[in-house]
Amino acid sequence: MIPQSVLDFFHAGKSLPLRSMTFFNFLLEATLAGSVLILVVMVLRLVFRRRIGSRMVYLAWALVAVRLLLPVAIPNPLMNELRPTYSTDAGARPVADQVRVRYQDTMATVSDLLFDSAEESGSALRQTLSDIAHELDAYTSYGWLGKAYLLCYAAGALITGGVFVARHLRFRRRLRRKTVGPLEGAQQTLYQSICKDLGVRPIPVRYVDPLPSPCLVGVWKPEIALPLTLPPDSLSEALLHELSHYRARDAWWVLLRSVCCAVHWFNPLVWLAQRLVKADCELACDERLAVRLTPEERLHYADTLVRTARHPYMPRAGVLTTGMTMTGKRLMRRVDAILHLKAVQRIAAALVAAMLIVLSVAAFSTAESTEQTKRLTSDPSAFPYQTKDRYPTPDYVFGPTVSLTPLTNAADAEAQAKRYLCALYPDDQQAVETQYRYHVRQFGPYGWEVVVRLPEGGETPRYYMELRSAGGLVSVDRTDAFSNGDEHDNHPSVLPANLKDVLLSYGRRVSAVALQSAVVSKAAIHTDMETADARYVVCDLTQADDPTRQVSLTVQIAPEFRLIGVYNLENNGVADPLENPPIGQGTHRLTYGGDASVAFDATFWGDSDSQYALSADAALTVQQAFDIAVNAMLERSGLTQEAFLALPLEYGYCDKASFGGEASTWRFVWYVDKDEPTNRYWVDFLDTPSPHGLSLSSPGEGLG
Amino acid sequence: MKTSIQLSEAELKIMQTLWDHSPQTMADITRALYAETAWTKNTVITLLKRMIAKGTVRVDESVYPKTYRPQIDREQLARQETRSLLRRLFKGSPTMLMSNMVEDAGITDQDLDEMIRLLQKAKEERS
Repeated sequence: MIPQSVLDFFHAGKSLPLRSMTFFNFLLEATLAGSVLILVVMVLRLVFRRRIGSRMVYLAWALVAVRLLLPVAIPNPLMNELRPTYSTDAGARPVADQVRVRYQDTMATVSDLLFDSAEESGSALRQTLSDIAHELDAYTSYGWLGKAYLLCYAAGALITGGVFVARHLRFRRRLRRKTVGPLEGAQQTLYQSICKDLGVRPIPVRYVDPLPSPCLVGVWKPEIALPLTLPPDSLSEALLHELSHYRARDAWWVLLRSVCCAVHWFNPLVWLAQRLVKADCELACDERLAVRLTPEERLHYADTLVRTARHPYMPRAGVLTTGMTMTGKRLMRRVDAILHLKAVQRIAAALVAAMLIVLSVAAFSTAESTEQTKRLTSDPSAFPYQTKDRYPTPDYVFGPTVSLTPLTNAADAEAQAKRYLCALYPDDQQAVETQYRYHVRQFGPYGWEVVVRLPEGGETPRYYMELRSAGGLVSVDRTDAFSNGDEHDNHPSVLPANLKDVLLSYGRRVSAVALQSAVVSKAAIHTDMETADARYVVCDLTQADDPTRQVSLTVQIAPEFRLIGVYNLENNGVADPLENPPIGQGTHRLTYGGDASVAFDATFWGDSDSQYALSADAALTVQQAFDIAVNAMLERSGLTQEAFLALPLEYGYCDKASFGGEASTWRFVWYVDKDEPTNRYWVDFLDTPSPHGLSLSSPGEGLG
Repeated sequence: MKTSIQLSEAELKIMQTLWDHSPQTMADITRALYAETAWTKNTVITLLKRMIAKGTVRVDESVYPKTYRPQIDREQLARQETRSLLRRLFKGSPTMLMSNMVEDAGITDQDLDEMIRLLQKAKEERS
């Protein structure tokens, strides 16, 4: 088992830097961004090496290492738009959030079951459920899968790191055992002068036998190991090469490379990269030396490389190769690069350097920006969810002022709920205090749900309340006992002043024209009790100068005021009526036979897109058409003129020509009984100067 | 008889000197190899001690200065897979915390010849 202290380091305390969520996020982001950078540098070294030089390539690898190891995220405004939902944990990012949601789902299910079994208190089932809830809360806040991942990862990293350290120690021990002697006499003098030339402090040099190649070993106490079989005239080149590594602090880069491999042991690209870096390190070292050397010295240096590679113990025959081996090719390239040293193109190098800086900054830009939050909430007291605290501050209270007492058990929650109900609904006070039945359940650690039912029977709750653990009221739904139990009085919440501005600005996006001067007439915040996120804000927006124009919207806003979505509640799937008001609508004052006394109002309606539009190019005016219609109906119905005109005209309109060549049609309808569609007078005729094509129907007839 | 004789390249050079002519004193060996290797007496002494310990060289202390002679013959060594030594010592476990001057793995004669040709060409161009 993992010791608790280790788990705590990765998980628990808020003050500790590497909770599992953030640690996994770091790994995920470093893997994604780092892998992309590795691919970029792989292209870079193949395409641009000649122009920018090997040292610049080596530098590019250093940036990759920094991205792979540094757990830093730079705020990036785009991330606010990229991530679909908000998490209260500023450090938590996609994968970790998934784990948290899974855990919360489980908790919610168990809580639901506990609530459903509330009647059977003391039963075995309830006991079991309660035990499970406790277990979940106490031990698996981060999930067993998370722990298993952590265990696998840590094991891999430790093994990789352990193997590195063990090999290194074994190699150094072997070097000590196989040492033949130090530099002596003239060779020591030569070494001193080379050190002086390069401006480095001399480090120990030892001859070792057997050893395949000269090398620099160690980070803190570096030393140079030379093979005893090194040709004496290659000594100065070998020392120069190793001292150049030493001067460039390459040992530290090698250590960094090893740490990258240990931390990212699961990423094959990192292992591939470390092989390439190893080769690039040598090329960079060669380059640093070659620029100091004369052409003749370069030739001799290349010669040394080749002769050092020639090893009598390597099989001379029997190796079936065509062309060069991997090592051969690499060495060939090194020799070639030394012999044909090209001057670095400064402009190309500068461009690549700039590109690399931009890339590495971009690679770290994975955090959500807090700039937007700051801008929208210049008054920090206006909206309380800016606190980094996971739980809302107690002064964030909706509704009436009731003293806040922490709700530690169901009895506390019930008492607090009664206080709120008495304050909100004084006329119901007696029933609240003495008659109603209260069902209380806890929502995770964050709050309580209180369902208040009538004393006798009926499952419909009288009140439905949500309270915070700190004692604040989140919402009250009130069921009116006289209205079939489906009217809810969602208590309007106290809105912070600038939340209103935010609502309006988002509301206008939906109803751009109608809501230019809208006011928030009603709003309520729906809180996710599990996470204490205020996610959903439902509001009614009303146009300031026309109270009849109103639209209900669900504006989903994350606590930092980032918009999640805007939904129109009441016009599901239909265009917002305020956005596209019907243009043909209006009241026409009609008279018949020039007698003003029988004038009445009829509604003509239609909208721009429907076929019921009142055609602007109709041949008849509304008044002419109406006269024709009434004349026809008087003939047909047998009613007196007075009796007929007393009927309410339901509607009249001119229908656009719907079939090719046919003229538009007028239609007037008088309903005798609205609920009975056949009990009406109805007249259709074509929109021509001399009316024809009349068709009429009277009450009781089919639709003519 | 030992089943495996492990000789490094440096030790092999000393063996070859002794095979050519033996017995030899330490000064003889140093002199014979100096042109090729620039080894000092101390180096040769260290190598000889190791080889005595391994049983590939025998020392005669009855004379002054001491003389050395080979304990194994060429044919015996030729049967050994001597190159496996290096591979086992260094190739199988390359440590991360070092930088080798050249990566010593499977360079073939063709590779080397090619590179030497390249160097020759460069030298000729220079002169």
